Amino acid sequence: MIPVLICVLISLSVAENDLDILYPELEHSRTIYVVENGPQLSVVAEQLKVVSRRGGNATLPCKIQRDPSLPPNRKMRIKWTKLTSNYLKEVDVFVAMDFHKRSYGSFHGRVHLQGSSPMDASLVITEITLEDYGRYKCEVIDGLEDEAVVVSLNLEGIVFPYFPRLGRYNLNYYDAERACRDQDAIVASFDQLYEAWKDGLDWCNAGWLNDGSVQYPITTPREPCGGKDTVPGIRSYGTRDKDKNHYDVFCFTSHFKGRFYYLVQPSKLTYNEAVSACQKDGAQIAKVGQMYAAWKLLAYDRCDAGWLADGSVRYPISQPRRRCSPTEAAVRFSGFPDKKHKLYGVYCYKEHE
Amino acid sequence: MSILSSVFLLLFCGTINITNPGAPTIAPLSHRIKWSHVTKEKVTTILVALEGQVRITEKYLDRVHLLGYPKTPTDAGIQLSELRSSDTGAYRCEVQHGIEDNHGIVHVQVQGIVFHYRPIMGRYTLTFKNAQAACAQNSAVMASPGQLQAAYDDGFHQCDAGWLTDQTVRYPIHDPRVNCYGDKEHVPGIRTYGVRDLNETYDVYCFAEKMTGRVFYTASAEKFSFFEATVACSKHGAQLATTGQLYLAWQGGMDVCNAGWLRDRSVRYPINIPRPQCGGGLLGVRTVYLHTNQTGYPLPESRYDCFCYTAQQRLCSTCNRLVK
Repeated sequence: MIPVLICVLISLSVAENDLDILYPELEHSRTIYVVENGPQLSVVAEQLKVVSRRGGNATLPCKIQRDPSLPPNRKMRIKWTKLTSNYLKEVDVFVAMDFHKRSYGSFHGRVHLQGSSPMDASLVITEITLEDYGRYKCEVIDGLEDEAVVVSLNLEGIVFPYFPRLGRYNLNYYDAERACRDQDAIVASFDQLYEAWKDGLDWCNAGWLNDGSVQYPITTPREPCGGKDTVPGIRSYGTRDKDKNHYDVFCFTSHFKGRFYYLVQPSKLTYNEAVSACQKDGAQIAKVGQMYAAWKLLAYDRCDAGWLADGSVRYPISQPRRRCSPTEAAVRFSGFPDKKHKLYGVYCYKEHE
Repeated sequence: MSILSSVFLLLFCGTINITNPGAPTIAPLSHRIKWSHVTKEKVTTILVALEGQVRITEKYLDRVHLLGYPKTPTDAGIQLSELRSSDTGAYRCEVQHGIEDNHGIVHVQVQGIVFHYRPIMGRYTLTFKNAQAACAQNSAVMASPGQLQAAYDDGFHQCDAGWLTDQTVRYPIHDPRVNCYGDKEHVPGIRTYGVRDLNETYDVYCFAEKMTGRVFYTASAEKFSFFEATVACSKHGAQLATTGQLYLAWQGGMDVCNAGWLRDRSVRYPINIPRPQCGGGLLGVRTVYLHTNQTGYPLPESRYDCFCYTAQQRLCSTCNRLVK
């Protein structure tokens, strides 16, 4: 970021004489104003939305259209940035000009231009992470002209409401970010919650979203959840104080590369026994996000309540039946029992070798 | 910055510092400079400069110029003149050289609003002197011709002649219609009666510069007479807001679909979200007149809500709006 100075003149770093030598034709007292004669450059995307999954690849389309009668410009510059919820802030992703190329930050080594032709500015992202979800801007600069197009990258996955052992409404925004990360997930976006609501998610506890707002999805209006005689929808508390206000959180997770499984044991386990049982099996006790992903994306079904890493006890049911979530397919939640209770099984997660 | 207090705005991009390790000598004019006006809704390019050439977007053509470029190729500063309310927002300058780039952001708040004022006595009842007093009583001053022009450029139109500081009488028209033509027929623009005798009577255009406190809306089930409204505000440690204060609150985003008393006994309501049932889907500070020809104020015993004003600012720990 350039330091912004207001009403302070900048000292000259180039002496006027040097300029005279370099640009003898340049008249100092006048600027050459160029009249616009219609755009000769445009940038289009054949799809404005691309869907992929964690660990997968995606190609964000961006095609340059340029007056074919113009001589080719080797200095045409392509830059990809990622938009954020702050309209003034963009994150650098990739830039290319002539033979120079550079990728930035977490995108380093994971992005390149598809480059099927000199007019193809499409960006390929590999090994997609949950954080890659969002909107990307493809900007092309050609001399005085520049054009841009925005493409969304969506991920297949699942939104789940979350609160930790501390209980309901205990997370400020930063705690919420940590809580989701600890469950192999990230804080969901409004669009992700909206999709989940359209798929039937109904949850009467307000949770943080990644834009700093606090909302909850209601499909069956009822008195304690925004009123009985109201229309279904996502109820919003608006943008809340990220430090001072405490709520639950909506997390989002996508496909994983490892294996999620119920570890069959001869007897029920305490929490500590559950942790070491998974370790003995060459795995780790599973996280809440992994159970949700297995249930939603792999239709995992097991009617045994088991410990998870956060000390909660849950079980995933994709085929509702008697005694096993008879009314709906769901990840059932049995609370955060005393960790010393020797009453439950355990779910483990093993990274692929 | 305000429409009143400055004729132009200087925006500086700071020192351009782009290093390109691969290229030991950079031709001084090979930096590309771009200025844009950025709001939440959209980004508007103001100008682009490269290799001594400058392209200015049409709507900025006559009111922006680069301060030192190309004489000083690293000076990306610009001057923006004829400021208007819609110039509020963030200004982004981007400097690019090769694959390197950098940017800076300057926040600008253009303050002040021009409004048409017609007193309780009716249409065209103010001498120049009384017009000045009417603006003063409404937390404003008489508008200058330049301020009316800036408001016109932002879309302000009103078919009522009003005093301005240069003792002329004018009115701003975008869609000329019967009785508002003047002698220019269909040409949009500000119509002027020229310099007038100070004892002639007209309406007035006032200019309110800056909100110093806070305007808030107060309601009750039975609503208030004018006298009860005065009491209702004082119960909140406040007083009835002036018309100028309500205009400034409207400019700050206030939206209330119920008419309320103001200190001059006028009844108005601020609309920022268009709705057919709230002023016919139009935006602005809407006025409730006694007569259908838009004159007179409602009788003091009629019942409305009210708008109060307090000098106390609400505690504002999360405000991140930068005011320059």
